[in-house]
Amino acid sequence: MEQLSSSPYQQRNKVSWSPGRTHKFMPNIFLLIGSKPGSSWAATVREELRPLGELETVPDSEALAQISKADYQMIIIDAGAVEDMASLISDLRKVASSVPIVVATASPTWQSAKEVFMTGADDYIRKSLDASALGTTLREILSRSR
Amino acid sequence: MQRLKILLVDDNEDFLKIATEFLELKGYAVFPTTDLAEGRRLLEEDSFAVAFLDINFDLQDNHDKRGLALAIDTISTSSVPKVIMTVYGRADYVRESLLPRWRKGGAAVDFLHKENGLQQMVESIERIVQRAHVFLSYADPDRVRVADLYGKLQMSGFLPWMDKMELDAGEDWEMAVRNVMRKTDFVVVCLSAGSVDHRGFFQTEIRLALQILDEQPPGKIFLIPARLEECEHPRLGSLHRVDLFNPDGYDRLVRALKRN
Repeated sequence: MEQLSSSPYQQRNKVSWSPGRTHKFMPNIFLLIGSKPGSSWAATVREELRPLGELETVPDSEALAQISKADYQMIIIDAGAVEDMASLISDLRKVASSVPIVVATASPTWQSAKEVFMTGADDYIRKSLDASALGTTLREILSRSR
Repeated sequence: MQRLKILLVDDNEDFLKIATEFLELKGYAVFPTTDLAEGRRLLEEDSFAVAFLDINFDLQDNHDKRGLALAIDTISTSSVPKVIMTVYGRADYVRESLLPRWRKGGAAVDFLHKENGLQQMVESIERIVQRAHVFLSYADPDRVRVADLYGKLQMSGFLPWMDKMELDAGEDWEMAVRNVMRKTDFVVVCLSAGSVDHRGFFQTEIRLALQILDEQPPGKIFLIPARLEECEHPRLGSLHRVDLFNPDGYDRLVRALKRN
C-alpha cells in the first residue's frame, strides 16, 4: 500500500492532502474569481488557505473556461469585480454543481445577499473580515461541503 | 378546489391584519397569528403551502437578534416552505435565513422586505408552491385514508389525483387512469395490509407505474410506495418507501415529492 507521506511540496507549503480526491497526492485547489492576483485581499485569502491547498485567481471573463481545467474544491467570487453575479453563479452551477461557491463583498446589501443565495451560492461573506475570521469561515464552508 | 393554506406569523398586528385581508382576497386560506409558539404548533400539526415568518419577535431593540434566532429555529420546524418577511433589510439576516442548506430542516426559501409591498407575497407563493401532479394509487378499502392524504397534499401545494375525486359518471375509468398516470409527475402507491394482495385494478396500476418508472431517467423519483400501516408488497420492495403512519411520514413524502 502506498504511504501517504509528505512530498516536498507538501512540506514546503504545509498542504493537507485530501484522500477523497481522484489522485491521492493532488493538493486541494481553490479558485478566486475577480480579484487581481496581487491584491491585498487575494493575498489574505491565499495565506489563509495555504494550509489546505493552492489558490488560483482568474478574471470573471475566464472563470467558466478555467473551471473545467482542475478539480476545484471551492470557488470564491469577488463581488466587486464581477459584472453579472447572478449569471456567473448560475453558469458555474451548471458545470460545478457540487463545488461550494462563496461570494465575498466589500459592501453587503440584503438585495445582493438574496440574489446570490437564490441563484445557488453557498455563502455570502464580508471582505472586511479579519484574516483569522476569514480563514475560519472558509474552512467551515469547505468542511460542511464534504 | 380547496384553497391553499398560508400561515402568517408576525407580532405586528396591523401588518397581520392587512396581509391577511390581502391574501384572502387573492384566494388563499390564511391563518394569522402574532404568537411564534402558536405558529410553531400550527406548523407541526397542520399542512400549509407556505408559512411567512417575521424575524423580530420579543424585540427589546432593533439590534436584538433573539427574534431572528427564534425564527431560524422555527425554519427547521416541519417541511412547510418558510419565507422570512421583515422590515429589516440586512445582509446578515438574509444570510442567516437563506444560508443553511447543511442545517437540519433546511433554510427559508425566500426573504422579503415589507417595504416592497404585499404583492411580492403572492409572487413568492406562486414560485414556491410546486404544483407537481401526484397520482394516488390505492385499493378501495383504503379510500377514506387516501382521501385524507389527497386533502393534505392539496394543502401543501401539490395537485393530487384520485379517481373518486376526479372522474365523472360514465367516464372510461380505466383509460382515464392510464392517461393520467402517463402524464403525472409522481405516482404514490398507498399500501395497507388489506391492499397488498387486493385483486383488481390496483395491481394493474402498480404494474403500469413500474413500466413508466423504467422509462424515467436514472435518479428521478417517480414511484413512491407509501405505507398506511405495516405491510409488504412483493413488487415494490426495492423502492424507498415512506411510512405515513409514522409521525414524520407525511413530511418525508413531501420532501420526496420536492426532490425532482
